Amino acid sequence: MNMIPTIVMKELTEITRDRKTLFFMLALPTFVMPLLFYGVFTIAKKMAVKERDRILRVAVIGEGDLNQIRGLYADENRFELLDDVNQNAVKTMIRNEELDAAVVVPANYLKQMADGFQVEIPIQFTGASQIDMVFDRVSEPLYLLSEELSKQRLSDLGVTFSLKQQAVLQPLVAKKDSLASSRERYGEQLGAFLPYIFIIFTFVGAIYPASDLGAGEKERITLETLLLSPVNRVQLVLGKYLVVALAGVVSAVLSIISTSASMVYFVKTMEGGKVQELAGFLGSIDTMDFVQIGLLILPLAAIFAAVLLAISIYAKSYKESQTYLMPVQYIVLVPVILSTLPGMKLSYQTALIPLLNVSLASKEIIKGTIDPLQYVLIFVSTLVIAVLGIIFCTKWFQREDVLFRN
Amino acid sequence: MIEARGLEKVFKIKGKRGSKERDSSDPRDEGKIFRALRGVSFRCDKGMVLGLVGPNGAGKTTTLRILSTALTPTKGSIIIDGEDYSLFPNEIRRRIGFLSGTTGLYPRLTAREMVQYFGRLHGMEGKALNHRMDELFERFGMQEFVNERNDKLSTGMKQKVNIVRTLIHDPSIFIFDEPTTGLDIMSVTVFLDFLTESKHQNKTIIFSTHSLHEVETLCDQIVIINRGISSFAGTSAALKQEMGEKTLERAFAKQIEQRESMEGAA
Repeated sequence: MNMIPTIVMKELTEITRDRKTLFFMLALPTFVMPLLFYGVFTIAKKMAVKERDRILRVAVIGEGDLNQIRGLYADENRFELLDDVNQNAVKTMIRNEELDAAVVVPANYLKQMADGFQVEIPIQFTGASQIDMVFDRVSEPLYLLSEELSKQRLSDLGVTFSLKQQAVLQPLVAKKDSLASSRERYGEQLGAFLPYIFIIFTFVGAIYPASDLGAGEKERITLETLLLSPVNRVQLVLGKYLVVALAGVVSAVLSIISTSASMVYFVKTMEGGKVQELAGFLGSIDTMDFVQIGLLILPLAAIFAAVLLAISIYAKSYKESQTYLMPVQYIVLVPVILSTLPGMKLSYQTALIPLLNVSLASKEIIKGTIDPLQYVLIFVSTLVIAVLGIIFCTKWFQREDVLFRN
Repeated sequence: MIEARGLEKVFKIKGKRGSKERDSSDPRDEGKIFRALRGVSFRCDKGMVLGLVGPNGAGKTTTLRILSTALTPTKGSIIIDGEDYSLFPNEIRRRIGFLSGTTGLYPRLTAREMVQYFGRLHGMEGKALNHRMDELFERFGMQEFVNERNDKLSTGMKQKVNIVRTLIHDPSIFIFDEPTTGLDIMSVTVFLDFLTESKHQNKTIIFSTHSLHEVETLCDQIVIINRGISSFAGTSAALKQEMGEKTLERAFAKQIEQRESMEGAA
């Protein structure tokens, strides 16, 4: 008699009444990515705007005539030019955030300029912050002056026509002509990022049900009663296995949907030159691609369910099971990290390596360059591993020293 | 009818696990192996209550786990209703109802769902299952809380759920491992009433207990297990007479001491 549906229904009823499982299986994958995107984008945007608009406190120091350079920072909406700054105190003032930058004008600046030499003007600033715009903003007036002087010098040399001036300054230009479509280029990056999300969430979604269905039975002292029912052990394991795998699949599907929706939403609200290209890239990923990526969750869930359930069946208690599962969480990330290494591609060999194959395949699908045979090979190799995993779990479910470890 | 013939059970001891708790004078401890049972034999017929008694760690739970099919004996056999149970474990499981004082419930299922689950695992379904559940819920006065989650129930209520779970498939043999240990007075009463009723229904009942009062009140036969060996099988009156003691407690203690000193001398 097939008892698998009975076992699956009972286990599903139980896990859907467990707040912890519901949180990790449903709430976390649904809300974590939107919140992360919202948090990171909003904060980064706000900080960038603040950094761009704030008035920078600048000191122009040096021993020569400083008037020309000081004149560059006369715009009070952008700069506050500090007078009479002690040259020796500048570094301390910058570190104490009393000053944003100091423009150090060399002593012989005017003479060297007049003689047609190139002059180096150091700009002192901290530069520790990732979103530091101080150097760019303080160097901009100098850059504009430099351009103006460059044109002047070329004119003095008799090169007046602007295209000719450019030809003199840069006689040869190497032009990028990549044959990769924007989908392939963005796909390489997004395709490397997406597996992090759904591999982690397949795992996270399956952890709690696995602990509950194996070690939890021991801890609650219900395992013995279950084992005394006239049900084949293979059916008992398969019923539990399917529920753990399903929990992983649900969690991963939700994570993909929420991540994709978050990306589309934030690309739409973004500004800048690359937005159109990025929107075009996202638009080029069609439903079939999502289905292909979605199907990759099945091999993942199949392997995770087998590993997690085996660990859980071995553990004496829920807590012990969680302890064993901790290092596994880190091991899971190794193939994903490997997939981002240069030169790592989906091949007939890598298609046989669990997790790495899924990670690489997801990249190829997003790039639109997946080889159908390699894709199928992933499922075949995973099926073999999953079957071995189930056999292993079943064996453990029959071993007295595992079932009665406590 | 259930009969145990020369049961032996050896456990492998891995590493140093449990070495602190182990009694070095225990002849069963052989370093890397532990002979939990070294020869346990008894027979319990229909309508009979057999009490397994013995000190802590004597081998009572191991014996009952073997009888219930949870563990496989290293040597010996068990005959149930004339059949060697190792040949048809699943068929035997249909005839056995197992309960211990520590048996847990699925906390997030209701009492009804829990009993229904085990009914289905025993191949029952539809109207027959529902009818059986309703009958048992009524008999144990459980109608008011059958739809409550198990983690919301009192100890006595939980014990009733466990009893009904044991009874749902109408087993002919009951195996109880210290069923009253840790229970409050109400729960013990519920259990003992159920035991008396089962006896009158001609069920085969084997249970282990530390309460010699329960043994004297309920058991037709007692089997003393000490250090993995069944050292006595008979009535409580026979034990008292053999030991020359008036109370069962004293007779039991004397029997244990005698056996241990005999084994020590050997």
